[in-house]
Amino acid sequence: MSTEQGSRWSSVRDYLDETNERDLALNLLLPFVILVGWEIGAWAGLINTQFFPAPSAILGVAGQMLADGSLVHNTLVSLGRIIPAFVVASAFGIVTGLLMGWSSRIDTIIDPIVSALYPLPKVVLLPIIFLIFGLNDLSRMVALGAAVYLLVTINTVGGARQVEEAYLEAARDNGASGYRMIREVIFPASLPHIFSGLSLAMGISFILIVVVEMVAAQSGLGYIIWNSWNLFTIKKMYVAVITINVLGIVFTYGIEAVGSYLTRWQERI
Amino acid sequence: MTDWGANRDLMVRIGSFVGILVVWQILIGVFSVVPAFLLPPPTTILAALGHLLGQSSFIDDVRITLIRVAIASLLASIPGVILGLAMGWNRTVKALLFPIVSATYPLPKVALLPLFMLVFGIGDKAFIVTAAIAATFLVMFNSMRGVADIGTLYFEVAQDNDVDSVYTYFREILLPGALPMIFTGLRLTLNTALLVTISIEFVAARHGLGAFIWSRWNTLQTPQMYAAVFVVSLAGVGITYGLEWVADYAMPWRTETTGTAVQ
Repeated sequence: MSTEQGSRWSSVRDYLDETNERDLALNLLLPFVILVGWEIGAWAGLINTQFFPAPSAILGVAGQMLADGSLVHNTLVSLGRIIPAFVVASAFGIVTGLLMGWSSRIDTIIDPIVSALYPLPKVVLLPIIFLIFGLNDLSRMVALGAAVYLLVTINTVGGARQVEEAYLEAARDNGASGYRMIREVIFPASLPHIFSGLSLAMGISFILIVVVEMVAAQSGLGYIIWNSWNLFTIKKMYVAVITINVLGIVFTYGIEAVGSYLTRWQERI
Repeated sequence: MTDWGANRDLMVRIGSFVGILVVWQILIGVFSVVPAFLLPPPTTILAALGHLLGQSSFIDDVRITLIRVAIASLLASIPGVILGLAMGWNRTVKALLFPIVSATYPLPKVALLPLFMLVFGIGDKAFIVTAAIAATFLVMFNSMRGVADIGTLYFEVAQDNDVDSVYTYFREILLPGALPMIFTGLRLTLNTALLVTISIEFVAARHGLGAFIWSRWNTLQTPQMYAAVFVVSLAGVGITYGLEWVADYAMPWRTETTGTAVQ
């Protein structure tokens, strides 16, 4: 079982390295044209502002939502669901993956379960978890956590299995076993794979949290989107979508940036 | 690893998989460790699946989902491959598109579904557009990276031969050269289209496998719910191995696979 290597962030970082001033103008051209065209089109009546309200109008509503506290509150609610679930599940996932990489006996037992669940589109975990745990904040977090756990375990074990035999032998000859073997050899060597797992898991967490909050919650950014659809308060919908996008950029690329910093001894892929 | 070793490995895998099914069956079917309506034993799920496969309404749900996934994948792949190759090949195109593509990539596109349902109405058009937009990014990124793997020699030969048609570059160098990465991207794209389509069907559709699963959860018909979940994972497996097979056929020169479908 191979795992996806090379992150989106590494493409972004490489691009930032190679870019120059002439490019910068081009970089900003398209967003500028879209925003200005949208704004002018909206004021001139060329665009249906029911569906595509002017950026300035969206900004105004964003200001209102910041002032009345609803944007901050619902953002914190969504993050309060993602972050604990993500941290706990990925810690368990890394430990499971490392143990599988360390002991072939553990690997033989767990691998069939993991391989069977692997091709499952992770979103089908939602109804299964809701069935078992009911519908509450804990079950929402368990559903996120289950997907994160699977992805991180799979990627970690993919990394742990690729540790070069020479390193393992050298460590063994020097008396390393058990905990030290995992901590000093397998874990650092698996880090690049662990971080691709973490970044994939973060992406899935964002998809799941939006789906969960749309249909099975009364708060959070996904709920704002769904509620705005029901009430036709479309500017609020845009504000929530943009907020989720910004959080996605910070968290997904953030994790990948931390990963490439921690594995900077590795060749750039 | 020798054939014997590979065979033995496969036997162990199959053995432990069957072992899990047997343990599951015994723990729940015989000892009722977990209430069977939460997690029915495998035989119950299998029976439900057999029953469902005889119902034309379930077959329709499967067909509806597969058609949505297929159309969304097609709509995602064609512009995805073309724009990805163009970004990998031409610096100006990359400067124009790459920042906006990278900035919107982390947004879970299912968040756009309500907007598209307002614009297009609740129906296939909104569902498919959302899934297609979600799916296009991965094939685009992978096609772009695929161009970087093409040796500069090919471009030099093309220049020496005075190739000036953009189409010829695409057809003769970019597309075949980036093909391994394009296939990796396609596999991720199809799996994303499946994931997002199922999510959308949970949320908003009345037909399709996702809608079926969601309604069976709501009415606590759990064996049928698990049977449909099983069909969804079969679709996931089919996409992964099906495209692997197509890739082997399209690229007989290729020796190893890169990347994998993770959803």
